[in-house]
Amino acid sequence: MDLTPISGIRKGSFISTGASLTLDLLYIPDWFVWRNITQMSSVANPGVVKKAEWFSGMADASALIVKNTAGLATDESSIILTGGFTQFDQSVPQTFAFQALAAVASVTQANPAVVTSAAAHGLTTGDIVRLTNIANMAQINGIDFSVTVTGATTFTIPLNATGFAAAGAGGFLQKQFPPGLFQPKRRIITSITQANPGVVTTSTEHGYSSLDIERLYIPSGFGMTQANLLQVQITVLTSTTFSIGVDTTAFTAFAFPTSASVPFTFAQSVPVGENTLSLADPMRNTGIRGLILGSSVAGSLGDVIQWVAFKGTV
Amino acid sequence: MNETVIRLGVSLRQTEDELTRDMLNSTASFINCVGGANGDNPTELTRSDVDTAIRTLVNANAYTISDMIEGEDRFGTAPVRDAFFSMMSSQVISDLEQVSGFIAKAQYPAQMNVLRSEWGSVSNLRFLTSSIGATIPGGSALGATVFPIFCAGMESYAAVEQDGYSAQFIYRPQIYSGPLALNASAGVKFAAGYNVMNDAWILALRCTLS
Repeated sequence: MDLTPISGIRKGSFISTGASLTLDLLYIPDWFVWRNITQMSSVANPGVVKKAEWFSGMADASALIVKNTAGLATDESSIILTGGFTQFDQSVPQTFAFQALAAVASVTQANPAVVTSAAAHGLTTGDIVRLTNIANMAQINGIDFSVTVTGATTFTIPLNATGFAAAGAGGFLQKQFPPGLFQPKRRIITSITQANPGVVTTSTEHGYSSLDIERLYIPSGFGMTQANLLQVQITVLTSTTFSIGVDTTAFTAFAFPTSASVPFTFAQSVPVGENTLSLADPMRNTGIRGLILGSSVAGSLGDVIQWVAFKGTV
Repeated sequence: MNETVIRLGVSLRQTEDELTRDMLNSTASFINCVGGANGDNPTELTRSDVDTAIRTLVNANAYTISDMIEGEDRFGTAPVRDAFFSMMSSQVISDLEQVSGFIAKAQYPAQMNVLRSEWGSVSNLRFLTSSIGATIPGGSALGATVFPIFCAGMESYAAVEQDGYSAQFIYRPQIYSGPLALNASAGVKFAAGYNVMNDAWILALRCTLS
């Protein structure tokens, strides 16, 4: 991420997937203009948004829009307060328009644990959610998890909860949007196998590369203290797992502290370097600034969208 | 133009601070405060948590950054130990002042080498505050904002400036910009890499508010 430009004009286009998306603009624009080229002449899709604008000072998730009127060859102008444009700057989290808290119905004692939301969650596989206020599973509250969607109200998280005392109930999930900043990042560990070599599972996609070097921080409450402060060269197995090149079969079993043990510090893997001839995974800033395009201005599947973002005196 | 340069300079240095903060927030290991009584995870900041952070750094053979400030015969002052430095959001100040053993910087025996942003010290840790200190909104077990307090030993992290790009002020007068010479432009740019040099010499002590 660079210094915020004082002035600038950026333009671009994309083909809509029908889902909300994030535009990296380098800056938060003062004026954003959006056109749905595919739908511009349409009279067949009542309510479809053809044109939209957003000015700095407007509320997050709002937009000035022009949409088709009831399938007639006339258009209607209006202001929407939801599903519009939302500004964000990853280095200033206070400016994020947070995703609403969604109620959780249950979290199973399974491997992987299955989270059931009280209503349709609207997530897609790969999204990151934070769980809070889960009763009976307080030990996972405050942790971010990558999700694998299995249904409209269900998804799994990379957590082996078979050893937990009770199923989780109640609480909230909150989609973390968007993840980023400096990579590779410190990750929270949810399990380490007793195997040769040991395999580490992280709560979110780790983003590491094979041959990266990590240091493991395993607080005593997690059992496998022999792994604490180990510096390991990893081999990536999946997006949330990697092997550490160390025989852990004789180590004490890794186990999450009980719900009654809260508060405590989570087990972590911290990137400390890499052992390669060329830097394949150096520290890099992936933070972005721009706009989130909500559901009303995301377009329909296959629509061609063009946009222009202005910043500064025009 | 002078006013512009001043504001650009502040913007540049603040951006450097934000980048450093974001790098530390992404990569440094963390310790949750557990000594408080607010029922959250992490809890509010307490003396035992400060001691844990200091003990962790000392056990990793981290060097303190500042020398001690010797006691003097001045009413209301107290000696300050050689110390690691910590950087935190100014929102944690009220809890910091409640920590057992807190010494406000006004109580230091000498004011030399005291930064304007410093708020005080506890044991072997001196605290710097900023309104743009790191926060993790909704990051606690109960959904409260988490405040990472970066506790650093000497040479634990670095900002490596790239050759020729440490900081450049750019000014293009009107004659160069636009066919009608109506627009001038001014700006700054820099290029630097931020990195933890030794992960054992820095940690984020995470707390919530009481």
